[in-house]
Amino acid sequence: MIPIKDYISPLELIELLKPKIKKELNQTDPKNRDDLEHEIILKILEGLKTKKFQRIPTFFELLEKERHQE
Amino acid sequence: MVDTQFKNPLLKAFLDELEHLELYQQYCKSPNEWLKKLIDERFMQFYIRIRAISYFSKIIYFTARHFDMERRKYEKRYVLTLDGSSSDGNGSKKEGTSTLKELIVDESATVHFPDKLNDELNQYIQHPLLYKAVQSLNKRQQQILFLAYVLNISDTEISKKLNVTQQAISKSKNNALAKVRRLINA
Repeated sequence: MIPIKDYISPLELIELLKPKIKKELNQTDPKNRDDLEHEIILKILEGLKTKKFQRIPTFFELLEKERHQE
Repeated sequence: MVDTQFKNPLLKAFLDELEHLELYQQYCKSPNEWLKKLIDERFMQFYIRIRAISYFSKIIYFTARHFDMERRKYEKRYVLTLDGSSSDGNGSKKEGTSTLKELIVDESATVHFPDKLNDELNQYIQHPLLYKAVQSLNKRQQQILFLAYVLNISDTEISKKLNVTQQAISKSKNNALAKVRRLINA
């Protein structure tokens, strides 16, 4: 298990997700957009704290797999 | 040259970055543990970002849906809230629509909006010909036109205000309009 927070800082993550957040904000009323943005960022930070990924394959494992397929 | 044409989209994207490609080429020329570890580490950094973006994109999507659902539930339960749109439903997503709270009467106001209106009909006319025509009407006709077209009051209400019958108002209004029309066309 790999906790994401060891690899990405909260600020970087939010910066990466900016375009997606902007897009989702458009689907609600203009007067509710600020509220929704805060809600989303809160959820992202919560997720960052707890989410762990299953094993991630290494570069050379993928390389091996690719070679086998050929 | 080292073969870097991979089918796997992940490997391809990873090696699209020049820094990664150089590391990999270096490794192919002289494989050693230290380089291998470095590449693995870089790949992890790279891959975990992709995974994180896809994971959090879903979270953002569902948070937005959930937020709207809650908002609608709230609006349905608390119908008396003044933040709602004053025009029922249609166009509520447009920007700049007024909300109910903007229509509340200011109890402490000393001057009411109708009082602010100028009660001279000719103050509202821009066209010089029309202005001249209206000037030639008598005071009473001007007053009736003012009530009917500036304040938007019905004939019946005007008649109550001036203590005459509705028919009389209607008649003098039509006379006034006919006279104005004649003077403009002349």
